[in-house]
Amino acid sequence: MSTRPTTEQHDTLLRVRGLKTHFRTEQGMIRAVDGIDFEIRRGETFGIVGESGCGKSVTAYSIMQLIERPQGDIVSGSIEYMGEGGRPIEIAALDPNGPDMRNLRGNEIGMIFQEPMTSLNPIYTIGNQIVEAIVLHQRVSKVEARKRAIELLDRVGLSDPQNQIDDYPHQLSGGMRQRVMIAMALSCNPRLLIADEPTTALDVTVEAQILDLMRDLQQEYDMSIMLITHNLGVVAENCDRVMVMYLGKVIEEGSAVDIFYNPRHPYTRGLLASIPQIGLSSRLMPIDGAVPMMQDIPQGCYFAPRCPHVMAICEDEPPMFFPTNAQRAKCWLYSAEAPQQHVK
Amino acid sequence: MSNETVLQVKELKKYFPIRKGIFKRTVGWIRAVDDVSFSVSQGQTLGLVGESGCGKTTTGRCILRLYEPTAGSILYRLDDQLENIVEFNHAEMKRVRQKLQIIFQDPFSSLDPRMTVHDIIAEPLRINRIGTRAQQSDRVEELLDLVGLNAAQMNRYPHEFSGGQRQRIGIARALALNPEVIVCDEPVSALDVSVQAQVLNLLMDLQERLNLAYLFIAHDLSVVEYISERVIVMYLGKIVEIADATDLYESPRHPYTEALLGAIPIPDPLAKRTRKPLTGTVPSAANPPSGCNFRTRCAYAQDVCAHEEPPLMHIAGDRSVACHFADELELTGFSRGGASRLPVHSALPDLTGASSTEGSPG
Repeated sequence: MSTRPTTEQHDTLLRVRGLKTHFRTEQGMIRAVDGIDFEIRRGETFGIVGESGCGKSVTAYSIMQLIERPQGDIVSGSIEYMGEGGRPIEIAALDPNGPDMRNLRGNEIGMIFQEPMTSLNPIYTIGNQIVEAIVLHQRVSKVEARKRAIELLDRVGLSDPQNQIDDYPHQLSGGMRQRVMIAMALSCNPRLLIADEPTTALDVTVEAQILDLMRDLQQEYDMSIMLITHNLGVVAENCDRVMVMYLGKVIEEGSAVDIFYNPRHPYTRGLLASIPQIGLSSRLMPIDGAVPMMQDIPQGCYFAPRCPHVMAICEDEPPMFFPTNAQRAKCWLYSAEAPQQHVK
Repeated sequence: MSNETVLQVKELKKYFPIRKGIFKRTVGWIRAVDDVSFSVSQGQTLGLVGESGCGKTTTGRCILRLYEPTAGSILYRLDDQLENIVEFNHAEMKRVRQKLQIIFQDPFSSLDPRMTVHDIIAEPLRINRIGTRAQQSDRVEELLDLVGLNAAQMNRYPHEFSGGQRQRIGIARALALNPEVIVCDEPVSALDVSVQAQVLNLLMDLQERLNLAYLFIAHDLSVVEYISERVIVMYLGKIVEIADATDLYESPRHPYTEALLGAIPIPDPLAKRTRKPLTGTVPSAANPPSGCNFRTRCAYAQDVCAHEEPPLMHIAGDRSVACHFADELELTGFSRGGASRLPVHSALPDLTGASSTEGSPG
């Protein structure tokens, strides 16, 4: 979570290309993730921001092959993971229940979830659950695994790991449970940690503790983190690069500094102008309207109905990316023809 | 805006029994709200912040007597007199509740899914027998317009609306009887960022138009700062600090306030700050620490804090703090770490750049 110099060579850990994850529902096909590209580099924290329903969680679930089938499916695209061996693994082609995928989950990619209570099994002690993860993935005895579990619990900040390892999830507070989840995710030294809204359910002081812990562990374990959140403050404090999603598509991507200091897409600007900032008495400038339902998505730019800068072309044709240096935004305003467009 | 007190809470206590065994014997008490006093002035917003379990929601519900207070009084201004509504009977409460309303956190569970929007908003009018049916419908239309919803949609059901729209429906319902005070219990925390801003602006506009007073309960300190004139910080059922919003955020006097402010994530990737994270978590309200509630997590705690409970003391100006060392400690306020304002709030550069021939679009 440190700001890395841009001169450092970019070593890609995960490369996603044209990923589409769709769900069949009674209301028709929901294109939860609809053709997104991005990559996560080694050692960086990559943020995904967006409002509910933008597809940020489905992106994470797709990478972990945790999409509920048969309703949902990765329709197309590739998810390449560059493991230790150097040969990339095509995650999208793996059997979700096969040994290769199981090996990848946990060993290479760990995940923590928003609600630590529902992601821990209430009928097993936390120790049992961590030991299970270690024994499944590493060739160690149960005794050895338990020793390691205690070390991990100590590392993530439980005050009395020797005894707390035999606690059940309900005996711990929300923050402590999230620490246990982190310990479990780290038990097999993953290269990539996917954190899906890890602090959303927590109080602000506990949130600060958990984020500090994740930052320290990232250095210690030399991990990449994919941080999914709707909290722009959390993004600014933790991420090196940020991707903004809207209705299943990436609409802007860039370094955290670019996104916050020079947001290009009107949606990103709208999001930033919507957050109350302490010490500024200026009135908030919210985005008009609400995110449309997946069933009635506009045909051109998805953001056109809410966009204050909408032009004629926006309603007819979906925009592509217009890259500028390291930043890219999917908006017709950056096309060379924009000045000739009729402003509505 | 007058400074007249419309609502005054005095030494409010709410204890919930902990029952155990087959006879449900009471084995202890959760002190959800423990001796809380404050007052709300007409047309003003009083923010109430704290972490989960601090008693902020219980306080709000006691004010409307959705929970019966264990002790203390709630004074509400009726006919220019403050009257203790804790002693009121059902009929008298009905009269009070016309003036004292609440908006809930979850716009999904606070609206009856089997009622149309029209019926939801007209219900308070119907219960209080105000106007004919036609007049009630007119009022519903007026209210929908006031909260920015399309009156043509009033025969739809709540599930057809988004979270933000549902929260607007809840606000319209609360406004139906022309209240003076609205308890807003986390009204925006279930909403997306862009919609949250819309609802906050709506609440502020309504306040100005209708001269409403809000008791604004939230855990998000930035939201509370945006909307409140005065702010109360609660911890484990007690008030630790009350002050004007600007004073509280710029120069907190209680170590807990300082810690809360230090934990707010700043939406600026270049902000540099050293944070002293608070260790541990909130202790159980069933078994609070002796002396000062906060001492177990306080960086400045001394021996006296374990023995003596600090009273909420009036200090300089219009603020009160419950800390033995309020006068001695030098605490840091909220700082955005260098940058005085985030660039997004500065003027936006022309989106189309120099090549634009039509000036700024939009």
